[in-house]
Amino acid sequence: MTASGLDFSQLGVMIVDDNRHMRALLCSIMHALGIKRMKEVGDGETALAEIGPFEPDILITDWHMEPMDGTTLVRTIRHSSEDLIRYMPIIMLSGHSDMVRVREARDCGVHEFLTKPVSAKSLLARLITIIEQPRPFIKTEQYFGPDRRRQDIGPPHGETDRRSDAASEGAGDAAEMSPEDVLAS
Amino acid sequence: MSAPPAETITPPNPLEKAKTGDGPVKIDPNILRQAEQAVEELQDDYAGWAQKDIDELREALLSAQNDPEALDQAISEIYKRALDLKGQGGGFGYNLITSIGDLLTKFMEARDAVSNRDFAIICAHIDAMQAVVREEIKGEGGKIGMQIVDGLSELVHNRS
Repeated sequence: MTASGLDFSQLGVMIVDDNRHMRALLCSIMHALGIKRMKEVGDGETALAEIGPFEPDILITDWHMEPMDGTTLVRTIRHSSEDLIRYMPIIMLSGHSDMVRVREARDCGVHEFLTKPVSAKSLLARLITIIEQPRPFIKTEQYFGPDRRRQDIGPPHGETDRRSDAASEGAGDAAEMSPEDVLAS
Repeated sequence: MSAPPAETITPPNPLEKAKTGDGPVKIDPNILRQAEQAVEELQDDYAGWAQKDIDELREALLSAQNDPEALDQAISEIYKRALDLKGQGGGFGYNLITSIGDLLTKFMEARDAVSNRDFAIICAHIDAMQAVVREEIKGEGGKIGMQIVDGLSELVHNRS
């Protein structure tokens, strides 16, 4: 099998961050990667209004925003009746790196979590992870989003099973949510 | 009664169309280099942006010290600005801004209420960020950077 290159010019990206300097940084990285179709907005509510008309292929959102923060935005997206929207790959950014926040982001349905400050390398690594290791979506009574388990250990058997999976995941979660070694391999 | 089984759905991956072949992705090093260069080009602009954030931090601190009615809002503003600076500094090559922002946000998270002594510690962090931007200390800042971080850590530790 031959190696595949990447051509990001086909992708549309929506960037949601209330800080325009952060948006400038993210847009510069995306532009340099070859992405031409970009939409930047400053909060979750505006993102929801623009997401339908713009039809992004991926959404990159900050956590802390007002009036609607990133986790509420992600939950709303995951509840959308439109398949294009509710299955959308999402990368969440946050200035916080503690495990509680990482778990909360994971449990609201993000694909990847990235601690600020953001580098071009870390952002590219997350994009490659989503391309190379697509995860199925899981629907239970309490969760809808990408499979929160990274390893393929077969289908979960129910909500109870999934909860115990989550509870048994220890401090290794942070490493799983931060695949910095993708580019190094 | 046990919960219903989880449903597994495999949706199409919209990012798949970025792949130009069938095999595993191999990164062209030029792509990453271009992206890193684009960030470097923003470094000069960042000093001005950070200065504005620092000015607003100082303004919020003054408000917190002088206007008891605005205290909660001012403290919340200080925390938000500090979190922004922490989250941005390293991205633009100013790692020391991120380190100082990290110290300041953690200091504020650890306090239920702020006192005059706390205001002095917050001010020391703002002064340190100001010095980093004024002197354009990029990266970790070498020996000076270590001294700044150690000094602030000691201040926080002595307050605890």
